[in-house]
Amino acid sequence: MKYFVLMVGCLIALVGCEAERDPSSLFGPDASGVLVVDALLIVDQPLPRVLVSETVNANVRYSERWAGVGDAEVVITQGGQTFLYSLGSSSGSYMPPPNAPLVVPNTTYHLRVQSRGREATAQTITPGRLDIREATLLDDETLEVIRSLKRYEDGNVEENRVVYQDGLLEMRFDPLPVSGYHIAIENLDPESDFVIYSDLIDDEDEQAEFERYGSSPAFEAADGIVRFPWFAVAYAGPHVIRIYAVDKNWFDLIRSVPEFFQDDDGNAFQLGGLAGDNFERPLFNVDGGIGIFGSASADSVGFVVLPRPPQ
Amino acid sequence: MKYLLLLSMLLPLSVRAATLSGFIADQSNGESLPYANVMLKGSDRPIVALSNVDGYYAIQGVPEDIPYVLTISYIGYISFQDTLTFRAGDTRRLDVQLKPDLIVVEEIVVEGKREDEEQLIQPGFVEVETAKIRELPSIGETDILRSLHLLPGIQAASDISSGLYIRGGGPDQTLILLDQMPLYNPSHAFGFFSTFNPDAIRDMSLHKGAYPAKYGGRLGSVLDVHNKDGNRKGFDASGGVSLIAARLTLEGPTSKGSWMVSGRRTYIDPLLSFIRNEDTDVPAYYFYDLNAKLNQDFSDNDKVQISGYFGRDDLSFDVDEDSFFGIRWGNTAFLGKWTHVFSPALFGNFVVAGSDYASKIELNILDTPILLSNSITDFTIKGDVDWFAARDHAISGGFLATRYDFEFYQEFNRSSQFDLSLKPSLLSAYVQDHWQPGSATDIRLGLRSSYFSAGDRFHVEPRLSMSYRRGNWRWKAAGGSFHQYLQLVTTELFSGGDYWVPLDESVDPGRSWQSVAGVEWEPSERYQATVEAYYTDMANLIVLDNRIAADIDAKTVEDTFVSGGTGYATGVEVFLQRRTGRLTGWIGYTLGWTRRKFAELNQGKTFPPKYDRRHDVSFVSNYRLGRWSFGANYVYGTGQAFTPASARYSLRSPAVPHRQTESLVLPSDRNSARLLPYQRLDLNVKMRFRAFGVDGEFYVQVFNVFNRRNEWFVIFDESDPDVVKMLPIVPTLGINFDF
Repeated sequence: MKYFVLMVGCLIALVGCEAERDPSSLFGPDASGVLVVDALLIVDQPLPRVLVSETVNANVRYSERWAGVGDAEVVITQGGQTFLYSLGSSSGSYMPPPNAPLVVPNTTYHLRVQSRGREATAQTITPGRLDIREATLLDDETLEVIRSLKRYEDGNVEENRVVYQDGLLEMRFDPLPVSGYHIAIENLDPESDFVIYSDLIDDEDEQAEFERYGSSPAFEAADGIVRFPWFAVAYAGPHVIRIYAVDKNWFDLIRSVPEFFQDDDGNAFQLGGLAGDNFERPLFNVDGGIGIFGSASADSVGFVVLPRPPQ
Repeated sequence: MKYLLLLSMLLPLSVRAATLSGFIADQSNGESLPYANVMLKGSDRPIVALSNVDGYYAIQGVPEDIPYVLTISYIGYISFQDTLTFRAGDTRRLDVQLKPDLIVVEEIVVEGKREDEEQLIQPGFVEVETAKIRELPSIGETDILRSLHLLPGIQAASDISSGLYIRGGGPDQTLILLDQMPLYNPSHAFGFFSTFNPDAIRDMSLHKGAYPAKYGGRLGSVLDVHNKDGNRKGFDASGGVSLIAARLTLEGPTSKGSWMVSGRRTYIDPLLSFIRNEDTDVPAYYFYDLNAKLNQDFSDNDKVQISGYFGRDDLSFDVDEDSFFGIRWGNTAFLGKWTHVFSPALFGNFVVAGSDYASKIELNILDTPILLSNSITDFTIKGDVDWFAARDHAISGGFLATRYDFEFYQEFNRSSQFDLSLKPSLLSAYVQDHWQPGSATDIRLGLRSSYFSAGDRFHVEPRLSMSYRRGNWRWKAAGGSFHQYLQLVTTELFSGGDYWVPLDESVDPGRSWQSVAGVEWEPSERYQATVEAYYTDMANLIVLDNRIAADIDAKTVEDTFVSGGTGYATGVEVFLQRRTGRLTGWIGYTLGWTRRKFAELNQGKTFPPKYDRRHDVSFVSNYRLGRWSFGANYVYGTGQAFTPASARYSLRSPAVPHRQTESLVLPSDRNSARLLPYQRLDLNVKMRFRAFGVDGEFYVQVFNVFNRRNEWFVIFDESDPDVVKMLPIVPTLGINFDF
């Protein structure tokens, strides 16, 4: 018995020695000072603003104000044309020249950013034009078409008024030779009422955490059909759904950055350990830096969400 | 013809020599005793043999007219001894029942001459006694798989996981068999408990690596669990009640056989429903499992066994009319086995078996339905034959034919996103020669060939193990080639959604080469020390691609997996064991490294998987004092690998209107940092009693006595990182009975 007691005593002493976690040990080698570029070209839209910033130490709270790079040379080229960007009103925000043409489909654009000896380059091939051929409301049991919706210009017409959770919104388009699709929704009336009636969300604080916009994960939508989930709608009033046909850079980014899908509290998070292998360096497709230089074509449908009538 | 000549040279069998054979069983209940030692000692060198997994032994080529002392021994049992003399051509059948030696267990140690005894000296082989496992402190319920985590070379993913990570391999690299039936998801409660009801288990053997040709289909290891056959001597009921579940096992004899039924069910659901009311949403959850077995002897040489397993987990959470969550998963397995002794030297088992694993996840989130279901069903016909060909050669061979049926279905918002059905077949055959060229040397040379119809794969896998003993020392080595045609997709947080994927023509099946070498020192029956070193080289590894599109229309495995991975695992294990006496237990230590490399992960750089563990120490002890017993487990492990953050940056969310800026964290190299070391101490106290004619045992156990909150994983977000901790102190109590 004395040996058993002795052994257990030693084990107790061992377990009693609790190591303290040094917070800095949660961070790897510092990768601050890397150029971060952020520019998305939308077909038939003007050349976009380009944001240039740099990575900061992981051990400090991020601030856009001092991460912005204000001394960069930013150039987008397309064919024989060169568009030299100029610094905008905020640090790290670069504006295209005023005479720049609209983004054209099926065209290669190059980005070059230089700052203090650092250079980041990327290229994108813009997709062809996307056209939502048909938007319909389906019966959510039989999946038969109840009615067709008018296009966005007529968003507030009778056909486009949909009772919350009554039926299923479906959009059809001709698939394009692109990597995939990205879908966004926006509530256009910031004063409209909350429409979710659920025991899960029963107080105003929880309701306030629901944004009036959101986006999907990456979709292949190979059949050119998208059915819109009702859980993406939280408010009544006018909404617009945008479908983006995206290039490889855009597609790679959204499928490799989990933060673009937020959790219930609106917080982005990544698991760095046992519970997930998804904390992996995103697919940036930027040489000499990180970020996104991508392109898409987009089309949209408007509709109005009506609250469910009282039971 | 030349092969026959070669065979005749290998098998110097004298037709005039005698044969001794029979079954070895436990006298108290008739359960067969696998790997019992059989020794004939005369004027010549001793003739030694082991019983097979069914308790059958045979010794060929016994010289005539020499008086022999037959000794049959099994640890924890009183040895059987008899003096035998054989006439030329004798075929003596001797079925022996050994009596459990309670005295040895209590205090006295029989210091036998171990050097002459035959033992299964397969490197990496561990035969685990269920009774020993039941003595260990546990969390809530005694758990077979969790107990294995205390052996060197075997790790747990976390406090809530019963998954086996053996010698640097993932849980999918271990073949888990229950009475020869594969179980594809051997877990309850999202991985917290295993499906094995400890009351129903007779024994289990674990091949940690370089396993013999009899087994196949996994890159790493094999856990072979056998349920009890049932008590052939009388009716017996045993069971227990813990804070989590109640168990009941009934067993008894038939006219020429036995039966056993064992069930277990949680009773947390009535408690949850008691808590549930209009203001409080509480999910409903339960699991249960049922084991049953029937044995019937139709003659001394014909035995038939029918056994089955059925287990389910069910979780449902009805939030309101728009939202609910439900998940059900479980295994079903059946087996019919015919055991036939064709002749004293030829023993066979023929099996028809089926196994099914299915899981179904249904969600409805604010009127948006999501359905994920998958299943794997297999139907197997197999045969295994042991031919005790000569005094020095025992040849085993067998075949296996399995037809699989995999079904995967995924539906989002009433749109079918994934609907795949695959029906590959696996054909395997093996042969193994157990050759004893001398009394000190033991060689097992095997060859296994497999054909997998998906991808039209054919592989031949050589297997070899050798041992040499001198006095109390035994040196051993083993190696072999292994292939894996099925891949498990799992997350450690949620094993209920696990699914298996057959590897098709788009990716090569996983391949490993394993080598093991070690030395064992056994100065007495009480003490044993083992040191083993291992190296495993792996190729064609695959992991799920976390970056696939949400609605990917996958046609091949390549579409959803990152393939072409390579890796290795190497290490040294030390195992010191005290097996008898009042104080029993062991100390295990593992020094290990394991690495993986994929062109598409971690920028092509080598990385440690999260279960890479440099140091792993386990200390297990149990002390018996009269009707009391005290147990202690201590575990120490190097902190698990995790991916740290290297910088912060921001990007605007691409499709969100007004391009909301997200503050993001840039990962460093994959798994390039470590959590704090893991430590845990568990204690238990058990008291045996007898009341109203029933033998009982009351126990109190405390998991993680010091409430040490070991680190589990790290969450990085826009604020400071959070370290999520594992389980705190968990005291439990319960009662077991046997009448």
